[in-house]
This record gives sequence, C-alpha cells and structure tokens, in this order.
Amino acid sequence: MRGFGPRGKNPRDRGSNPRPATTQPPYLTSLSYKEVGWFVECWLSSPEALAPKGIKFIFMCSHEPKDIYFIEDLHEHASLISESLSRTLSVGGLRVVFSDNEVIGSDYMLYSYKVFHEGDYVGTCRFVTYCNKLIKSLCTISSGITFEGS
Amino acid sequence: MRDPDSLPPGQRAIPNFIIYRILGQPEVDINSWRLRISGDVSKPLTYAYEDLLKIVDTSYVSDFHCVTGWSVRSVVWEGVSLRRLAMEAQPLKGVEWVYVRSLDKYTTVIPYEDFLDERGLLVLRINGKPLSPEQGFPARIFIPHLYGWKSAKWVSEIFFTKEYKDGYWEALGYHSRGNVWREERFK
Repeated sequence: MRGFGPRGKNPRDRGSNPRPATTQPPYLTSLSYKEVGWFVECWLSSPEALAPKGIKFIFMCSHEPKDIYFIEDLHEHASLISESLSRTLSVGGLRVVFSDNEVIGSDYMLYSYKVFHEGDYVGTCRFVTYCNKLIKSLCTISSGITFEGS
Repeated sequence: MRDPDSLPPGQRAIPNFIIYRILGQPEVDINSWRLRISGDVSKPLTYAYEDLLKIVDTSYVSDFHCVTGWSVRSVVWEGVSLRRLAMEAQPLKGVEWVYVRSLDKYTTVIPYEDFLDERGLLVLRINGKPLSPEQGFPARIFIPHLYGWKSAKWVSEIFFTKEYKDGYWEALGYHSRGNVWREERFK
C-alpha cells in the first residue's frame, strides 16, 4: 500500500489557473447595461447540473467591484438585479427580500435574498462580496414556476 | 516555504465534519451499486464495491477543507488512487476535465491535472472505518488541495471529457478548480 506523510508537495506550485473552454454557460439571452454609472453584464442560462435541485434558470451577473459598507447599498443593487431579471424573463413585479448572510472563509460574504412574484416565492438571489466589495450576483429561479403572460 | 501545520488562507479548524446533503441522502443498494468510468477513454470500466476493496492501494493523513471556511485536521483517508483508475481507463489525448456524478445527482467538475494529483483518492474508508452513509458510502472523492465540494460523495460515475461543463456548485458561481492554497472559492 502506498502512503504519504500528512502533507505532500506544495499544491500551490501547481500550474496556471484552469480555463474552461466555455467560460460562460450557454445563455438564452444576455444583456449589458450601465446603471448608476456602473457596468453590469448578466447571463440567463439553464444549467443541467441544477435541475435535480429544482432550479430552472440561473441569472448570473458580473460587474466591476463595488464597495458595500451598508446593507442598504446591497438592497439597492438587489432591486436593480431583480428589475433586470424581470426584463429578461418578461415578467413584471419580481420583488426581492433580504433573507440572511454568511461568511465564506474570512474575506468573502454571501448575502441571500428571496425572490417573490405576486407574493409567491420563486427563487433566490445571492450576492458575493470580497473584503466588502461586491464581486458577483446570481439569482436562481425554481422549476415549476409559471409566470402568467410570460 | 509553507509551515506544514498551517491552514490555508481563510480557514479555521473545527472538531468534526459538518454534514452537507444538498440533494438529500441517497439510498444505496451495495449489491447493485457500480462505479462507472466513462467518457473520452479508451477503456470504459465498471467496478463493484468488492472490486474496489481488492485494489485499495493508498492511505494517508490529510486535512479536509470546506469552502465555507471550516477545516477538519488530520483525517485518515484510505482508498484507491484516482491516478490508477485513470490509467486503467486510458483517457484520450486532449482530456482536460473530469466530471463526477453521484447517486443523488450531485455533480462536480475537476481539472484533469488535479484529478491526477498523486494524493487524489477514491475514498472507501475514513479514520479506519468504511464510509458512513453521511460521509458518502460506498465511495467518495478526496483531493487534499481542493475544497470539499469537489470531494463528491456517493460517487457513481467518473466521466473524462475534453469539454468543460459546470457541476452543481460551479453553476452557482464557485470556482472551476477550487485550490485551497490559492483560495479559489469563486469564479
């Protein structure tokens, strides 16, 4: 039997960052816009890997880092993202409500908002900050949700 | 040179594993369970649990690191070298990714280079005992320098591929590799 000490060669020496050939999932639509002087680019996709969890759509947004020192700043951003999501899905009246937040490691934080449509829970938006800078926004929309008129 | 007792950046040690079952606890019939190795390989393979027990070749002590920030120190891992499984299946030239599927339909993707790490393991035993259902019986992946979400539990298929495809957490924005020393938590 082969054995190793508690720690082998330094894995930090491993080569360069792997670059997926397809850096973005296949997207149904994409949009980019400037709101409040701030560049945001979003993709809507339906990742097969999330189907077992009952997730139909992912709306992922990349943007320039933005300082988030107050939760109110994030509420404003969450509303903007939900408006973009509404436009992309052609669904009016999506509303986001802050749910909770948690630390990831020591520098990252994950803020979660529940997404409601006409009072019904339809998904979740998550916002990732690194050292209090917002770096990623991502919303999930559940399967089995039908939007009237969409 | 890294202090051998140091934890990766942003991690803190806790006494025991926190159990995650994001898609629930799958039921396992060990008599019908098979590990399939497939995709871009010359020799697709299928192993029963008993087959794997006969080829256990690796045991070592290593820490486990969860992307949320906790680590469990000095876990004894025992199983079959992933490199050995790969060499037996003979991946085709150009393979860059390994897609792992589990009985609960959880998926994750691992760079081929990291999959072949000398300490990459298909784990059958932890701390001297067979895996518990909560720890992924009958088999789970473990690659010490990658965050725990790459250590898929209840593994049913290892799929070699030239094309990248997000697994469960990667689709939710987590990193395509997840190296703990580079703190590759998010894409």
